[in-house]
Amino acid sequence: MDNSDRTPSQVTGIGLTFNWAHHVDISGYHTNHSAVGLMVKLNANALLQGRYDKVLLRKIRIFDNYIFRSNGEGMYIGHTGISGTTTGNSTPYGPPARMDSIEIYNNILDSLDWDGIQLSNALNGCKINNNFVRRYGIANIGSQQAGILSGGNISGVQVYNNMTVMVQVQVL
Amino acid sequence: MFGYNTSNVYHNIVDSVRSGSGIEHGAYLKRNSVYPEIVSPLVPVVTGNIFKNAENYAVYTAPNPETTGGSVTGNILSITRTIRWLIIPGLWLIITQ
Repeated sequence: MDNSDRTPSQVTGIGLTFNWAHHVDISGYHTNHSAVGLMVKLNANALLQGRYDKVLLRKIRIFDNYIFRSNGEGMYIGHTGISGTTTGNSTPYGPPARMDSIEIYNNILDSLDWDGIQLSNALNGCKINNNFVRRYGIANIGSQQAGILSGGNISGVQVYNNMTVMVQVQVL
Repeated sequence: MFGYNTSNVYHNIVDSVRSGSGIEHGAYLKRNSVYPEIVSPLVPVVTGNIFKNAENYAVYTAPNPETTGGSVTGNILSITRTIRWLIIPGLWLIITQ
């Protein structure tokens, strides 16, 4: 996806997204200017199979991707309305589906208005490693300024061999 | 990081964490409750990282009772330019361009 010639207000689409899936590899993906670079999450829905205690989004690997310029997060992985009660980020069907065994590695993310890599709602065996996140939190909005954000609701995550550089210096 | 059980943060490089509000940490770790699961305490292990230019603490572990044990050891805080060249000369060239 290349939206490099568009203004932020013209770019409302997510670069790549999927929801009801497991055992997925995402590799070799590149986007230049998107609303969110990559999104993986499943909202709780009316079908029983879409409830948090019926489906587990597991074994998803995200590696060797290049995400440049996003108006929101570079990667939004896992639903952040964890308990299903967050206003504006929940449905009437309870907590959203959990994830498990998510691996995010060897990615480059650059020029992101919000967080760089956000992994949430992923229970066990998750790793975030060997990523380079540069120029994140450009919009300077509270709670949207992490190079790498894991959580909430993550058990025993490993975060290693990453480099994050905010670059923007607003304090003189 | 907002999680639970033993969580490891190691061998990362974090440079220039600044918002202008004076509240940004190099690494922030906290255990928070989740419904409907009942989750264990957070045991943070933060070791062997390099933190530079964080406007607040390099490593901040939220002092709530559900965060227990763990360790924060062997991290390099606010290194000099000279040391940075010694450690990652190639990577630093990329950053400054």
